[in-house]
Amino acid sequence: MESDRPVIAWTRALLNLPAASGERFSEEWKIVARRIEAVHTRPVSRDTEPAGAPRLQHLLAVPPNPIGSSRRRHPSDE
Amino acid sequence: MSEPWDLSLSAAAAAIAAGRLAPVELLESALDRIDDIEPRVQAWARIQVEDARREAERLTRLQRSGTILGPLHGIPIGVKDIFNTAGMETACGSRIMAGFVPAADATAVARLRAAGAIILGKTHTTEFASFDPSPARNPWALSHTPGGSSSGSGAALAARMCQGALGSQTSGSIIRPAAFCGVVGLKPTFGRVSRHGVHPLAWTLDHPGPMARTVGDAALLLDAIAGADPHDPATLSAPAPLAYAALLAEAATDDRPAAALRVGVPDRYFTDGLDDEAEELYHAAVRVLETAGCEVRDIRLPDEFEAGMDAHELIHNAEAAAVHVDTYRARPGDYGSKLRAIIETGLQIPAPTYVRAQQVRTIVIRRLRDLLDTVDVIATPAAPGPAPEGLASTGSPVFNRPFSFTGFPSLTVPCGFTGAGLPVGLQLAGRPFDEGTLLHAAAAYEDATAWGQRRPPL
Repeated sequence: MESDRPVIAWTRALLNLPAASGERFSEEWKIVARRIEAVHTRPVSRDTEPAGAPRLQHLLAVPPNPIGSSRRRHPSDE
Repeated sequence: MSEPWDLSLSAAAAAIAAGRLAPVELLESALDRIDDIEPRVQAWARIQVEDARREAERLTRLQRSGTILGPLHGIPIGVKDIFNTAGMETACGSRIMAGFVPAADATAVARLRAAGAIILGKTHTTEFASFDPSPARNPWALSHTPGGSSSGSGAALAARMCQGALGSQTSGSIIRPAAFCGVVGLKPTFGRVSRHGVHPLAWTLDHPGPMARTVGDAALLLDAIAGADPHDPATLSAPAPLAYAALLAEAATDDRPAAALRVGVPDRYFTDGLDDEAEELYHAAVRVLETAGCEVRDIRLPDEFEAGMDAHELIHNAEAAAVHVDTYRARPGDYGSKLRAIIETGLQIPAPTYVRAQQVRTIVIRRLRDLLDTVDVIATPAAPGPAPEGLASTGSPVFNRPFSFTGFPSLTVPCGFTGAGLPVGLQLAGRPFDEGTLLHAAAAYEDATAWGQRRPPL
């Protein structure tokens, strides 16, 4: 079986990011990798709603968007 | 009488309201002070002298005709350079945003103007309110950092170049510079002050807030900027703000204003890496609160607390990456090395990890809220020590991060000086939307000590 392509290079290519990272990347990534492990170590119930869920109450008072859908302007629709 | 530039915001506002001081006198005094001090402190990204003079003249004419626009009539304010200011460059301490002149004010800036304030200029920020430092220096020791990211706001206040300032905090960017500069910083509850028109660093962690020389001054500024804003949905479900300055004035008539307040002293985390002098000053500050009538209790932080701080950093980096990805793609070399590393690592954080971090956040918020049923405020050191020497780092936000992560309000008030003459802050944190209790406790502490009345040796 072919091993996975390095994820970091793959993300760079997918998002068309600069090929090389800055001088501090490796040092910062070590810390971030440890933090990723840390938040996945502790079990979290599926019932736990992530913080940052949408707040919709204020939209009740907002009139419909007068501009309409941007999809209508897509060239393939014409 | 003191030089006008040396007056606190409250004292200057009272003098203007009573007709004893004209806005033009106060402004000219501030400009003289800036001429004298700014070359050494470098707190300001830009000062709009002529605009400020025109506004001061207008406000002076109004004052003479008997009209006071609001509690900040004629008060010079410094605004961190990530808040949009109509017609005034907002460069965010970055090459990317250099030359950007917004058409409209951020909501907080507009509200300051409506209350009569004069926007004197823009104070230095670290690049995009992150960690790459600005030229600002600490007025207490010019070879030390003023902290960040609201570096210029802290430095300008400490050096008596303005009466009030705006800052913002995503990790520790109000509390840390305020503590390092020996002034008061208030990070309000998430949703208390609108983020509209403030350049984001991480949307769910960003908090705009006031910085000032005294607790009462911070209350006056919070009165002006707090409240619902249709442009920031986070503000719309928040309970209406109180009249904080009036609340403090009422408490000041009490013989024992801090009586019945329960103050929690955490069992861990806030002593990790704490330097000896800062620890001694912290314990002394807690004893002062006890003497003022507070009931001091030991409290046990939730088990999930440390995981929460890891979650904060993941959310911070992922959201910062999302904010900057388009400009980073086009101009990676125009970012400072610290923010660039945040963006680059943020782009690699898996989406399920970001969601898990937000779930951990929900848990820590619930646990901390439960803990705040047993005490009214949590008292901690504001930073692991005084401002570090050197300008390459803005110091550690580690003690401030928990309250940016949970969105609970926090405040720092000066609590003493090290042997080298550097200020140290006492951080108080409280229940969501209960800024009133924080201000009340901080004012009681301030009245008992008056550390904030010292002036830097400039």
